[in-house]
Amino acid sequence: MDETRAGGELLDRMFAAYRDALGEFRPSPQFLPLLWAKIESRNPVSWITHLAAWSPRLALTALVFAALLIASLALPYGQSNGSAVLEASYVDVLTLESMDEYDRALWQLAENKR
Amino acid sequence: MLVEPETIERAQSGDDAAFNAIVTAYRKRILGTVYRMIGRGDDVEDVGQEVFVRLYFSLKQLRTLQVFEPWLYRLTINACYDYLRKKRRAVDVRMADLSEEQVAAADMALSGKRALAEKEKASVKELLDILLDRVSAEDRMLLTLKEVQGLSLKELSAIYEVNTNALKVRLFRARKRVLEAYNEMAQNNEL
Repeated sequence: MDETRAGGELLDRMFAAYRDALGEFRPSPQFLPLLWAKIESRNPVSWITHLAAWSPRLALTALVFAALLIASLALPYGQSNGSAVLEASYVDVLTLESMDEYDRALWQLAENKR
Repeated sequence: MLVEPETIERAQSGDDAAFNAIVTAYRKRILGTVYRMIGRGDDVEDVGQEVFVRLYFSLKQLRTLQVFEPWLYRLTINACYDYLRKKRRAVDVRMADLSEEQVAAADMALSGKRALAEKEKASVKELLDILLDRVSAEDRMLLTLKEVQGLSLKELSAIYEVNTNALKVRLFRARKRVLEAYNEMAQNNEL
């Protein structure tokens, strides 16, 4: 029992000394600005805000890209009038490539007669 | 409470100025608690900011304004607990921080009944830091809140949401484990 009490007193003295030795903690003047920076960095709203700020530019970029895409698709068709570029189908091209000279000549004759 | 309930309500509805008022009112107390719990000055502001960041994002969940303070303490304890679990340094490394002379001074100082000099207090603090590193983070925080921060059993009961009898048992066991760590150090001639 004495040992327990002695141990308890020892701990009490240790904690008292600890309390005294710690003293006061003084926050730096940067505490609040840094806190708000952390809040902003974790705030999902701020991400949406950034997106909203960028949205006109993003919309314009998307519009330009779409216009370019349409132009790139439309141009080959426009230029292909009268040319043989797209007259043969994919299957025709494959067939032609897999034929030897004789078969190819026969096949082209048949095509010309069509 | 250090702020009016209306200030908390305004902060809950997204008023940043009201939240700033809460931080300003509780900053000193929370940083003091963090400082006592983690025992190291370097990371106190980081952990303190983490407490307030958690407060900012969870304030809307607080239904009863009367329990704001125990709730804030709980956030503080959780942030310290997370920090201690992550940054728990090896005790051997900590031992290297303390010279034999300091350890002997701490032991001598504790064996007497006289008031301790500043240098002795610092040695005892270092010794207790080592002992608290040898028990669990839960024990460390409970003991710090009770013995260093000076919270009453009633206040602790509100924070931990357990009755005072259960707390007394926890405190008794935590103190016992610190004493066992002290005796172990003594037996291994570390003191």
